[in-house]
Amino acid sequence: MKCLTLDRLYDCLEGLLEEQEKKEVDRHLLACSRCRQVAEDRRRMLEASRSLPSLELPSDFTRRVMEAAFPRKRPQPRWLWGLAAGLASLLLFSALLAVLSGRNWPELMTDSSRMLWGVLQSGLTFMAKAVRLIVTLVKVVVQLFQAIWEGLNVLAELITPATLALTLTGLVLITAASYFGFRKFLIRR
Amino acid sequence: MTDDKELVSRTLRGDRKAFEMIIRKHQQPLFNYIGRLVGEQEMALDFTQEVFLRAYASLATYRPEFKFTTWLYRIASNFIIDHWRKRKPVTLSLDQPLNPGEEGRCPEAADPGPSAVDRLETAELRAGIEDGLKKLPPEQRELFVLRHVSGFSYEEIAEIKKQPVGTIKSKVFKAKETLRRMLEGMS
Repeated sequence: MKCLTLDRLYDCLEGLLEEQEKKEVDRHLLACSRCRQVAEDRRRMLEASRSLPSLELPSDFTRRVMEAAFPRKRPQPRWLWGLAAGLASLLLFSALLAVLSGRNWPELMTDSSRMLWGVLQSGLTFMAKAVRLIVTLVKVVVQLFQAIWEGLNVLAELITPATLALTLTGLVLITAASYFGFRKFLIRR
Repeated sequence: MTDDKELVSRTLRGDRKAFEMIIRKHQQPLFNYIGRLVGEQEMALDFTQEVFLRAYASLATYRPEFKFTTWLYRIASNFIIDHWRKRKPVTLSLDQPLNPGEEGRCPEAADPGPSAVDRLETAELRAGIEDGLKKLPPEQRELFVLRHVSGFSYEEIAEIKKQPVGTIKSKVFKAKETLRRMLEGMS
């Protein structure tokens, strides 16, 4: 009796044989303990290979791949867009002025520079006046607070500490109630 | 589950959710395959991600008459082979027989004593296979994993590797017998 080749045995174990061939192999295996042992050996190895456990994949793997495939675009800063729009408007305005006035470009540029300088000077004067006004306002507010403070001191001397505490608590409560009530009112709107 | 070809078509039309479904469907088997070839968890994760990104980049070249899985595994296989080439590992030639006259030998010539593999418990056997896979030459390891761990047919492996079915069968046979001898050595 001729024994099976390993090729044929593997084909049998992997289900690659035709029905008739498989029957022949099975018949041989029943009769030949040596081939049966060899077949059992290979069968166990193949079955164990097929049932190797899955490797552990992190739960966020899909998200990682998706983020790599479709990276989020970084938004452009708003000030950059503002600057670009401003420059574009300036250029457009200059071009429009050149066309409408019918003057040549260097002449227009000189006039524009002069005008720009004038605007800048006016702007600076305005800024200086605005700063002076703010300083005056701050002085007035400080004096007002000083007057309130002095008034409170006089009042504190006139009334008892208990009345003062009661008045202050009342004021805090009224302020808090007004504030939260106002917020609720805004949210409802 | 939605058909791969349908998902590919939807992805090509800009449906990101469809690509996400492709990833979810194939990530675990692909990771098992890559992980068993490279043997390192972090590297296998990076490689699996890279394979999906490459697949996405070349999705327009996928032809629906072929199976999507074989197309995806071909990308993975080429990527890993590139990695091995860069590392220049010590490899054995697969065209060289294991031992003279051993190929396709008759079991009569095998050790007639009690089977070494039979003496191992299933858990031990699995551990031995994992260990043995790491020691197999890279190409044998890849073919063995494709056939006997991932469960591809010889025809599908031939398509993945772009080699004739007969060549693939012969190489897988060598891989099996090499691994088996390693298991015998372990028991």
